[in-house]
Amino acid sequence: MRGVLLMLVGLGVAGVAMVLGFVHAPAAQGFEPFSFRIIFWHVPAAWTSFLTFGMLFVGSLAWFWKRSEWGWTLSGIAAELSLLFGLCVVTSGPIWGAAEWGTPWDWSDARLNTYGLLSALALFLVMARRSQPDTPEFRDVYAGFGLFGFMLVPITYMATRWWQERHPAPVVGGEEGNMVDGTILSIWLLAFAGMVILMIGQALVSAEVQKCERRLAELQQGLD
Amino acid sequence: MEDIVYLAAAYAAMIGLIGWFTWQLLDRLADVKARLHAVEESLSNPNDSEE
Repeated sequence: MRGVLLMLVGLGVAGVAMVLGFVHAPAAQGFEPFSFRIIFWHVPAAWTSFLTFGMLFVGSLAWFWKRSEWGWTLSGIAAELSLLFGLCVVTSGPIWGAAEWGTPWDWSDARLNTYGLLSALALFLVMARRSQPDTPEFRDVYAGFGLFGFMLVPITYMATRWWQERHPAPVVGGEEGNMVDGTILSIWLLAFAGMVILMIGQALVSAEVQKCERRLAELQQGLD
Repeated sequence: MEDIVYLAAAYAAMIGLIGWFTWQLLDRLADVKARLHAVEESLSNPNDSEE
């Protein structure tokens, strides 16, 4: 199946990037020697989660605007993927924080808190979708939260520029003199490509699950 | 704690999350396909389901 193949390819590419991050990437000045290498998956996972929150926005908007069934399906797939990549970020980040800062979380840092809120929102959406009856009212509320979630993305992205506390300042598209090393950037982009391929594979499999569930529900309704 | 332990813990957590999510996705697909197949089978052989 195409989705499974893409997942395997994506995992392979992300795995190669991880190994390159361990053996090929130069050490970063001013950071702990080993734990800083967490960034080779932490940062691409965050970028991928921004894409999945974008998918959530498109799906939610399509439901609100056109009452589109594919929009509803896309928003469900995107919420699950946002939760996955969000959890990758909020587990690896605090582990690095514990090594680098001596504390896993800083409640005064806007980037950490807005991203934590985004991940909590994805968790809420996934749990709500699994526990609530599928009614038009529920879909409206769900899509409303999906749209709100996407509004947090640019705030989260810009947080380190506007209110930088503890989380490192942006090193891609950031200020002069704060740019990332070329090798590190290349490995990030490779890992990001791998995670996007993985995410597309997961989305295709998830769409297949939802298609089968709809068909099953139709057949069971017919039997009743 | 050793710096390298933090590195190992972070990657173990991320690999575990991706592996768990992928596994439960494939498990859900196999489960729903089996149920769908069973229902389609019973619909195409109505006599069997009445027995």
